[in-house]
Amino acid sequence: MLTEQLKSIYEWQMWVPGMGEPGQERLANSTVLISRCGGLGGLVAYELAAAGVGTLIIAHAGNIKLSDLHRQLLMTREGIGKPRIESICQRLHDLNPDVKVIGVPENISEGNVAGLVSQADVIVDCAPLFNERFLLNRESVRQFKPMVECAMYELQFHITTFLPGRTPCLACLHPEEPEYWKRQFPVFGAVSGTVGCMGAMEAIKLLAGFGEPLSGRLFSMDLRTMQSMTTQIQRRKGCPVCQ
Amino acid sequence: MRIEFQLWGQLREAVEAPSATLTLPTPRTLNDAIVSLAGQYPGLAPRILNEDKSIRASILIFQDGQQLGPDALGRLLENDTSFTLMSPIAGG
Repeated sequence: MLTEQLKSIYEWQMWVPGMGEPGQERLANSTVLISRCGGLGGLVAYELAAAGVGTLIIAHAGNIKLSDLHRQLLMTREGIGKPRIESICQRLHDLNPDVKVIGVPENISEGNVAGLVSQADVIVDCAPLFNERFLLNRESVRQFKPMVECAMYELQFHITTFLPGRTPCLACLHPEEPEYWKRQFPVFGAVSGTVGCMGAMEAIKLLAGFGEPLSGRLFSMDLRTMQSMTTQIQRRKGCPVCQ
Repeated sequence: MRIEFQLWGQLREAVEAPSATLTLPTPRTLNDAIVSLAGQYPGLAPRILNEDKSIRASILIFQDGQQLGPDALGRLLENDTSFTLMSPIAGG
């Protein structure tokens, strides 16, 4: 049951058709795993905390650098040189102290992926490296956990939602690691923010049970021209992960 | 035969434009057209072709809003056809 204070905090989003108090309670009882909480994942986490998701598990290693600040909105200049996860947890707590934030000062790895995925209802993949993405994908499929896939480059981004057993998985889309992809690439914070907010909305729809997630569809947009497209994506025959 | 490719991801910077158009003699397959595209824009080749000139499996190919699988690469093309090619991108 939501308290009167919580009803007041969330009343505008509870007015959304399909959401209501039952949807808000579902959010409050949910756990989301966010892999990397930088430019993209930071906005996912911020919006999910604001919306009242009960628990956020955030996996992100490393210390804050100057080059983080233009897009990683949960980091501060005062935090330069300090662990990113400390700043992330503090900023999310400041926004919504009712949300339980579990900060994991590690990136997704073979050693932690199964345990982290097992605690989550929904996963949001925001990592810059494909080996982390593929690990998360493999484990989400194995544990039948929905995974929202967000990616960006320059002024472009794309987003889809993988539902194990029903839609393609990441290994269907990209069966091999692109050897020319580099962890550092051109991008604006407004681009990561745009796709991060969309990723948060995908997670909210999945958890609260309304709307139409991008399952089996890839939404792509170029903010340079505002060109967008939604394309149907296919399961790959013989995919070693999901078939 | 005129074939247009809309380009996404890192493919755009390789041609410095969001699309590229080829004029090819007929008949040609989709595979032929993509290899020709890589030949016309050398910056594209390492992103869309393997060393043996086969098309990288990580490149997404779409036509009319539908993803095309590897089976489509051998399809003979019709004039004035448009495809979308997309390279993998990630977060950060």
